[in-house]
Amino acid sequence: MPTKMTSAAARKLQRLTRILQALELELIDATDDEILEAAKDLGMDPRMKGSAAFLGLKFPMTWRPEDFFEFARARTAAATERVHELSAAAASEQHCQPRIVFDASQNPKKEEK
Amino acid sequence: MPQIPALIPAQMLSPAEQALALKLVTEMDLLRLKAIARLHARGLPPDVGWDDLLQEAITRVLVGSRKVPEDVPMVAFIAGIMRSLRTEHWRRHARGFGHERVLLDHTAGEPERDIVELRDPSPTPERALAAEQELAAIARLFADDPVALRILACLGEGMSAEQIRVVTGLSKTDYDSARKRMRRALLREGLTCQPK
Repeated sequence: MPTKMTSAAARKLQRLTRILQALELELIDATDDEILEAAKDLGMDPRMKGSAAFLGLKFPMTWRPEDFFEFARARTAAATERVHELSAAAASEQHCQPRIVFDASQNPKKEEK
Repeated sequence: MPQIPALIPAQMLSPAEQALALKLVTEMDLLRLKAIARLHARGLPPDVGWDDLLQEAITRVLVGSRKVPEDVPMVAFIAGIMRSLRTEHWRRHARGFGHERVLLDHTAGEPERDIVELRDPSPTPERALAAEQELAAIARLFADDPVALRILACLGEGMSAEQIRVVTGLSKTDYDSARKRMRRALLREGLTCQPK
C-alpha cells in the first residue's frame, strides 16, 4: 500500500519527468553515426555547409527583415537626428524670446479706496 | 567505528574555462542539444520555442550564473539547465495563479526555524493538461513500435534497464535494439525543421 497520497495529476507529472529524463539521456548518449543516420532519414546531411539540420542553431529559423536591413541602427540614427533637431529648435526659441523685464513704475498698483 | 570519507566538493570551471568548453562543443553536439531542446520545449506554451530554451541555457553558462562542474560534459550540463528552465517556467506559472500555498508556522524558541514554507505539490490544471498532452505526443512518436511503448511505460515507473527486461521479457539484444530504434525516432523528431 502506498505510504504517500498523491493526486493522479501529480503521478502523471512524475511519470512524464522520469520519461523525459530517460529520453534526454538517450539523446546525450546518441553517437555521431546515429545522428547522421537520423538526419539522412529526413533528407539532410549535417556534414554539408548550411545544412537544414542547423536551422535555428547556426542560422535563424525564419529570416526576418532585420536580418537583411539594419533597422535598429536606422532607428537609432533617426532618433539621434530628431534629438539634435529638437535641441536646435529649443536653442533658437530661447534666443528669439523677448526678454521681459518687470518694471514696477510702469505698472503702478491700484490705489486702494 | 568505520570512518565516513569526507565528500570532496566538485571542482568548478573558471569563466574562461567555461567559455573554452562552450567553444569546444562540436556540430554534432549542437544537433544533440537541438533534439534535447525540442524534447523539453514540447510542454511549454507556443510562444516559447526550442531555440529560446537553448539560447537561454547557453546564455546562463556564458553569463556565469550557472557554474559548470569539471567532470560534467557540456552537453549534459546544458541539457540540465534546459530541464530546470522548464521547471522554472511552470513554477512561475503556478505562482502567477496563486497556486503556491505558503504556511507560516511561528515556533517559539527556534528563531532559525521560525518560518516554514510549505508548497502545494499538486500541479495546476494547465500543467496537468500540458503533461497529459506531452505524454500523448511522446507515445505517438513510438506508435508503430509496441515494444518501445512498453519500455516507455516502464521508464515512466522509474524502472532500471534490468527491471524493464524482467517485466517485458525481452532479451538483452531485443532490449538494446528497441532502445536504438527509440533513439533514432527521437533524433528524427529532434532534427526536424518544424518550429515546435
